Amino acid sequence: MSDNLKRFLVDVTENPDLKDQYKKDKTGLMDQYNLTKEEQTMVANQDLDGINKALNDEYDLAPNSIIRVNKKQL
Amino acid sequence: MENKGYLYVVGTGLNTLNHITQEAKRHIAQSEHVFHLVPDPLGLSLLKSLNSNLHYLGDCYALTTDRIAAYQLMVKRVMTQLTTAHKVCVVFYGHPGIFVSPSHALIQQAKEQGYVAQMLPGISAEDCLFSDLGIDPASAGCQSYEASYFLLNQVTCNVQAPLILWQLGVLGDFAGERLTCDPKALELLQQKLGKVYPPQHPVTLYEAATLSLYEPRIETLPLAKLTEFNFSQRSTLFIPACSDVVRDESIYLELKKHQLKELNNV
Repeated sequence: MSDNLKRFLVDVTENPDLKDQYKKDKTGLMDQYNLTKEEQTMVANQDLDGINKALNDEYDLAPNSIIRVNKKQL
Repeated sequence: MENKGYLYVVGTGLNTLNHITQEAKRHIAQSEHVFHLVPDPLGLSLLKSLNSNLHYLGDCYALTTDRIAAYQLMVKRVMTQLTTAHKVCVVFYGHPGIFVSPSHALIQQAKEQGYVAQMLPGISAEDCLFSDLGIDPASAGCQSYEASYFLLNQVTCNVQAPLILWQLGVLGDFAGERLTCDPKALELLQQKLGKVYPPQHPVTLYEAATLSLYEPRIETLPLAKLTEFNFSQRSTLFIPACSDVVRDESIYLELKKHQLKELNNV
């Protein structure tokens, strides 16, 4: 689990001003949170699967759509 | 019937930290057992902060041959726990009642067996779509279908109202086994839509933002280029109306006459 990446994403979620700051200076803000170059690349490329893998150290998380296919055979 | 316990089925919304409701958080915090199928790690962290007795349902996929069997296993697990617990909460991503068949099965079975069972609303992908695309379903109505269902059935398409097709990422899935869009199915969908919409009619690929950092994915192409979209598992297709509604004059006049008569009688 990447604690810095998690803290960065949580802070950006909870503080809209930080999102604006990210738009203006992506690298500067990510540097403030000590994200590694690899993490910064994932964030900049919107690599959701990579981010999920970096954040998760417990489960093999199910992708969104898999759970949302509606079937009535239950 | 004897009240044996409580089952609450709740949703996290699409962006858990921002979307989860206060009501859902309270039920998660106050339950003895919390089962979940939440695919985002930030959402998972929030669940952990609310309740330490978490049970992940995602491993059901690995224990079964297809998704239908996985859903049945999920229901069985929760129902088994419910027999020994006073209060159980099940957490799904998004809205727990939209495109989540185990949630409905759980509510039904729990009620049949004498438990108090309730599903609580969550923010759905459709809610996000209305906001991000600026659509008000009250203005011209709205049709909403799972894309494979729409393709495989003789659905009457109303071109006077917007059409939303969900789960393009698994278009052509018959048996709950496919995890990608079948190119042939996409071609057939284009043909089917082409029978009622003109080739240049705009169609929009939409994906809600699941992290606050990002914007939703919104891409628009003419219907003739539908197959050029790069659909992901999160993709939805939005098709605006292509014809104006014509007022039903006979009903309009009859109602107007009736209301004028009422006014004159006052």
